[in-house]
Amino acid sequence: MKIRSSIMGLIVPIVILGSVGVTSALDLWKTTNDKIPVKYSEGTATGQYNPADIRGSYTFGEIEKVFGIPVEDLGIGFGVKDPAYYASFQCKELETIYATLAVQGKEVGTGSVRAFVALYKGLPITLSDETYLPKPAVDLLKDKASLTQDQLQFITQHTVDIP
Amino acid sequence: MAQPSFQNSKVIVPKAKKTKSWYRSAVQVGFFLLVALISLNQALKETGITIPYIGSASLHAICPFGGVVSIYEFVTTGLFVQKTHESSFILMISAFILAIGFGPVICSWVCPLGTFQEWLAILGRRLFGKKYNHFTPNSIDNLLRYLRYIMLALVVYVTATTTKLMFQDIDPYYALFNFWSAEVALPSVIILGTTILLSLFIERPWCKYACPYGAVLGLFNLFRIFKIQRKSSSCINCKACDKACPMNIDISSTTTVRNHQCISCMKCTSEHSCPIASTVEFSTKGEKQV
Repeated sequence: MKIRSSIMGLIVPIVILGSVGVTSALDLWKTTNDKIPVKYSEGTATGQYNPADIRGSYTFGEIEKVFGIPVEDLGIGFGVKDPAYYASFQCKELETIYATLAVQGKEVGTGSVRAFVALYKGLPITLSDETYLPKPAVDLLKDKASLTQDQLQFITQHTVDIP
Repeated sequence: MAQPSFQNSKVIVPKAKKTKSWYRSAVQVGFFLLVALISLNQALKETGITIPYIGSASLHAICPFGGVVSIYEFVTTGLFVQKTHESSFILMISAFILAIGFGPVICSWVCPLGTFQEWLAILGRRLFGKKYNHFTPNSIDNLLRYLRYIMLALVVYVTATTTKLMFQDIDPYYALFNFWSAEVALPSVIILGTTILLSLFIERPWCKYACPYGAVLGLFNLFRIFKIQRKSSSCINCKACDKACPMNIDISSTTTVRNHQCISCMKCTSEHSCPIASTVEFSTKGEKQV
């Protein structure tokens, strides 16, 4: 059996666009996050929302709604200057605020929010050595969260000042 | 379709054809425009203006390679890597289905960066004529062709260990469709510039030497159902197929092309370049070996 260009010219768009059409009809086609993080499926936190699924597009307001952390703590902790923007501030915007630190290999971004939320709520998380937290966020965690000795040591060693 | 003919014991060799695949060009232009409009729509979203009937997904969401780099994260944690979504997985599966049947048709029929490089190749051919795409010495070229597997291993490893879409920072495709955005990292702009420059000398340099997604899809050439098949019984050894191949594959020395670099563009076939009917074809069955 052989195939000509004219047939191939039909097969390729049909398979690609067809898969989009079929999965859209089945409500499987998603190009954005629905702002509902996945839940832990095992361990002590089973059934609770997993901060590791927080995306850059999440606003602090959405995190407050899902994890119950006040936007004020998130806004102050991460150095958002105008309180009017606390609720609408997107995690990915941190990369702009802390761009100068990224050059030094110290990243404050969505990963930092994930770590902050997990530690604040006492949820399991794997802490990455590249993830840093601003000093006000570290102070908030020391004040409000029940941290293990290792976690305390980690955040102390991964503290940066707000530029 | 031409067949070699004999007149007064002289073999009249038909001239190599150069028939452009308008079907492929049309599909390529269609996907290029679709991706460009989706990207533009995404950029316009914040201004409140939208192009009707075109989605405004991010480029990551409609890139099947996002699915490939997310596999490890998805299997181990059930999560997607940063910026990728269900759509990346769905497109990855569609691309794999196509690749099982026909090889890396995504590269030659769909990928807008591949199309862009082909357009630059038109200029390169005008500048250098027959020398175009033959500047790199074979010994170096053969080695460089495996670079994309190193790139693939690196991208998959770093993405798996950091859960970040590190490829974005070096991805010329992302830079091409988002050059106006602050999200585009300098290395990806440099790589895009280098790809543009090299495309004037070499056809599809990014695909040949660096594309990690091309590396994945190229593996399907080893077992795909439809393959480029050459009938040695009717071949007149004019090497028109070799000359037509953008990936410089030596088609005339094999009966079944299993080369990991074949992109299934069908330029070598009797439909487009081979002057002898039914000699180079995209088919399931090749010539019976005697």
